[in-house]
Amino acid sequence: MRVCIVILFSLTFLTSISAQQDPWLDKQWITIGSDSTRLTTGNVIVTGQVKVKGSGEAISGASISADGFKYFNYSDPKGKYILELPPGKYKITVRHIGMKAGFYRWIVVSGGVLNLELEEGITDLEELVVTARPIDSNIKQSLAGIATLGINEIKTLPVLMGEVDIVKSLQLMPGVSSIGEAAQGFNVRGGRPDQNLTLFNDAPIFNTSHALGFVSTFNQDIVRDFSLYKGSVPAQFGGRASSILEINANRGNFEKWNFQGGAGPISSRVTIDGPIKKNKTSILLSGRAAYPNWILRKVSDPNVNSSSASFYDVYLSLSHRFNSNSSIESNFYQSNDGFLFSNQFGYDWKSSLAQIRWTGFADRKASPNIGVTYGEFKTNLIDPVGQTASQLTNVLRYVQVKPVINYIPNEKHSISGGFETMIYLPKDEVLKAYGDISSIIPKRINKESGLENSIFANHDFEISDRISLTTGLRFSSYVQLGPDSVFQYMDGVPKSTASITDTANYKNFKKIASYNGFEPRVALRFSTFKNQSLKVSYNRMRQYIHQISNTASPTPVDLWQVSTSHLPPQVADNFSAGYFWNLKNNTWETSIEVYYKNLKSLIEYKDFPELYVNNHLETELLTGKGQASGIEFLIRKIKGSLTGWVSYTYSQTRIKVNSLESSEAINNGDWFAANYNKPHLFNFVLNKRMYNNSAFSATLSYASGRPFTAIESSYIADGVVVPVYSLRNQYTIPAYIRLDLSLTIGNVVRKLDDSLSISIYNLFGRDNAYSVFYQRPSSQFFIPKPFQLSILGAALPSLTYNLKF
Amino acid sequence: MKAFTMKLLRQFGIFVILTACISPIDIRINNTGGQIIISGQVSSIEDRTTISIGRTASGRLPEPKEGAQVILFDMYDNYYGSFHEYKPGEYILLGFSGVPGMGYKVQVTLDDGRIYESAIEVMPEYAPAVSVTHQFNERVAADLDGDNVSQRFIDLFASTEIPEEWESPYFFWSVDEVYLLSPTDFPDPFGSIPPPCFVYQKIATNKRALYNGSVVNSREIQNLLVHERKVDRTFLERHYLTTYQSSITQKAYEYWSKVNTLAFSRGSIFDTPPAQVKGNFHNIANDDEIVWGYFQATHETFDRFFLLPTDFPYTLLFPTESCTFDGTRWDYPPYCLNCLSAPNSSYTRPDWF
Repeated sequence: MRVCIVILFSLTFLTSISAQQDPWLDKQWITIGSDSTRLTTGNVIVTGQVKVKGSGEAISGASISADGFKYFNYSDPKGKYILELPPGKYKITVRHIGMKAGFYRWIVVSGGVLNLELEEGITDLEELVVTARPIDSNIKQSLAGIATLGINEIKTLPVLMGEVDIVKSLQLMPGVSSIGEAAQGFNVRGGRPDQNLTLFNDAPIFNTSHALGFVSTFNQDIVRDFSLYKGSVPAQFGGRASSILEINANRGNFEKWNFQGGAGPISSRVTIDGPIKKNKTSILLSGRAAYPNWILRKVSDPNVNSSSASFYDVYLSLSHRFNSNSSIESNFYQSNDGFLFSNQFGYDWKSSLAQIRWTGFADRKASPNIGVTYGEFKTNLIDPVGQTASQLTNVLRYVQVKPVINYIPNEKHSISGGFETMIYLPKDEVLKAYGDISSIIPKRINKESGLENSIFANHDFEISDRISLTTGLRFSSYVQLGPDSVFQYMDGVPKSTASITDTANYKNFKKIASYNGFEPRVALRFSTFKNQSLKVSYNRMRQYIHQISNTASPTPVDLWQVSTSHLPPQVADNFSAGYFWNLKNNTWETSIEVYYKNLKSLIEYKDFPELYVNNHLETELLTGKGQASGIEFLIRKIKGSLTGWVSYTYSQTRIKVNSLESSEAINNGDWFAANYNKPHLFNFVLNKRMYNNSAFSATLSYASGRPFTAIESSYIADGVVVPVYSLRNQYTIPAYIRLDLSLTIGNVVRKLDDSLSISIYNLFGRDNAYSVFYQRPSSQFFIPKPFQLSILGAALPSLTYNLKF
Repeated sequence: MKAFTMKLLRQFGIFVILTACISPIDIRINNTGGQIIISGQVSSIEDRTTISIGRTASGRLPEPKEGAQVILFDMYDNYYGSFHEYKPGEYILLGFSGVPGMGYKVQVTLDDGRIYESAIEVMPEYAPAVSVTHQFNERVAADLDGDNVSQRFIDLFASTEIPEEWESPYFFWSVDEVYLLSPTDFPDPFGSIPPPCFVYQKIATNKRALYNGSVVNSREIQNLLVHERKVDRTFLERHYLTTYQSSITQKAYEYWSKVNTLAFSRGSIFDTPPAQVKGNFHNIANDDEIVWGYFQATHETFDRFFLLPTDFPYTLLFPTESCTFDGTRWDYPPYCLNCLSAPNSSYTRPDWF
């Protein structure tokens, strides 16, 4: 009760601070066009580019409005805008998330070009719009099911371990969840974590978590914007069955040097950027490192204080402008985690990306770009003890080439097209002895290579003010490439080592198996009334690379396996429909969305699979089908100093796996719940911006318990207690409830652009069950008893100081 | 690699250790039990060919299945006699020792007429001698309340040499115990001393020590930890520990390996998802019926030693559990008053004791 009183008091106090004045008052009038081209009647077109002041970086999705919303448009992906309006005097407002609003006074005489600039920072309190997209785009764009949050918005949310986290913030949106605190990745509308494609600067990345899922690998200081496509997915994206998380990173400032950073008890980060050659070449260098070992040393348990853990990530971006129509950037990103538990086991994993991207601007209608990326994801598992001490190494290498051209002939049409080539070249999986006393037999297993090609086109067509249609078509093809030895199995019996009949050997880059198919994408918007729209969409997505995991939830060291002749691609058909209604001049957004997902060739595992150093992996796997359906409700306030949302999702995700042998069929071949199935998800997010860039935030999350497999009875065989488990996922763990609070205090030190963030994660210290497992309380008890494991069994405060200049 | 994964399970991460908590929970089980369990072995050592038969019971130990007929066959369907039920649900084939290289199976007929049969298990050819050493160790381990508690153990280590010609040896180790239990000698005018008992026991464990020789290139096993025995009051008198080293088939190894996997479950992300461990019995009239348990053919060797309280590097103190009359107390546990009340106790002294 006392806590409630404190919160209410705080809100009362906070809402009392705000002030506003006419922002156009001190702006000079700018004349556009000349009398010689003046039209006597009709509208004129004003065009130009919206850029970041200083860096000159184009701003996509900025809203440009004249005289309120009388004339209005957004900037395109290259920052270009077109505003059609009659000659006259206008008060212009330009807005974008994370930027201070820009205010101009125009005298429009005739058509002309005027570039607009926005300054990074927080907008005025009452005018603040917190979404990372244009106001009312949820109504006007035909795509549905896009979760967007502004990077500045999530910076004020309560955090774990002092680190702002994109992935955790997205889990506050409807339809997005995870297995629990220490889970790798996230689940979107009944999809598995490996069915989400995470694109960092348009390049795929295979690990999104540091420290076993506690922290995302994306440093808040380098993230420019991010979007999660959980429903409609444009045709330029593909390769995963469930969703696309698109993250774009910042580039260096072209005009002045900037520094920003933050320090906390467990990790710190620093970012520096500026011009190498003013207005021509810029650099951005950012790094973050964790140093939890000093805390581990203070733990009395000798196993813990002799352990070590660390992670880091670095990002380097070099940008160069050849001229106003052409620029190139090269980016390097690497994240690394290491963990050693006493002298008993260790593991590490590392993601690396090196990328070159060229962006052109042929004219104001067409803008081509091409990106070439080399990526690597490496994992090591180390068992340092005994005769079987070993080190297991897996490396997935890939090269991506993706040219795209965007063409905007007029306000009604926007077309994009291109192709994407992705070649996967994993290194051999290697098991070798570790240390002097190990006598383990080394093993080297060839991992399959694959080539994925896609060609795509996407067309946004605003048929009328009330109807818009997005159609896209992607054709993807996949070829499994040699070298490989492919086992042939007897027909009509399950694949096992006993049913191998022959082996076919393939040389380098020889075609072994191929798959292909169309992936249509359609999204239709129909505006029923003002500020209301009905949307329906359909996507087909094909996935040719899969995360192979034999653990309760995916871990960072799981294998990534391309499709093979025995492992077909996963195919998902995603249907969704939603009704969107904005209220009070787009201050409030509300929506109801329903979805249905049908999954084919879903990979499931036989009981107790052997997945490592196994050259006949297909004998451990089964393919099945899945269904996910749900309904999502969202009420969100996006304007003003007090923002936030309430969301609720009801969903069901089921799997069915049969086998040629009935004893291998999972749960007798019947439908069963996926282990991440959480029917009820509820989130409440409140964010109060205050004077001096200060803010208060609270989040409340509820999720119903996920399924688990329980012991139903036990027996003793030759002195060993053997548990008898239920069929898969027949029971559920208790529900999850968590309240987090945070307070960000701006301008801690006068004359500095700094802030202090204080967060309390899991305020009530609730023991939320992550899982249920069984243990015999002592040797006197034969029957194992159930226990719940709570990953965070306490309130976790964190303190971070952020500085920027 | 499964061993590696299991190690991860056991020590599932620093972050979890720092902030996690474990607490008991109630789970309402829908299954009422009643499924048949048959487990046992044919051994190369006489009188160690045994079969246990029971029926699963929800939330408690299985109910023994009495009155069954158990018959041993070899791979050529030669009949080796019927087992004797020496206690409820426990059956033994007296005077029999298996032949290495021979395949065996058992057939079980329940009193209701249902007939179950095991798969054929071939007894491995080799069974190298085992030598066992022990150490007294003390370990700090977190109990279920998260408190660090110091616990004393006797750790048993096995060493053996593997014949060169044996390509893929699989072993497990198990420990049988027999200890002397002398009832309390209360002062009485007649000076009569009640006879002592010999308690035969096998401490139930969650897992057993296993060895897969197909993944290592060494031909010897040196000081492999095969058993951790917590020190308790049963060591107050002479206490024998017999370590059996069993050569088993690959299938038996896989069965016990799965059981071990389940034993390492700690609820972390590294846990192998639990599943049903299916054995090698089936109902000959109904293939769909699930039958739990495993029948194995083991080629065994053993090593035996005993411990006296004076062997310990510390004084064994179990004041409330000891049966020794010290004149200061009169309340003694029931097994001190009647040693036959201790489970599996007998007046029969083993030949070697």
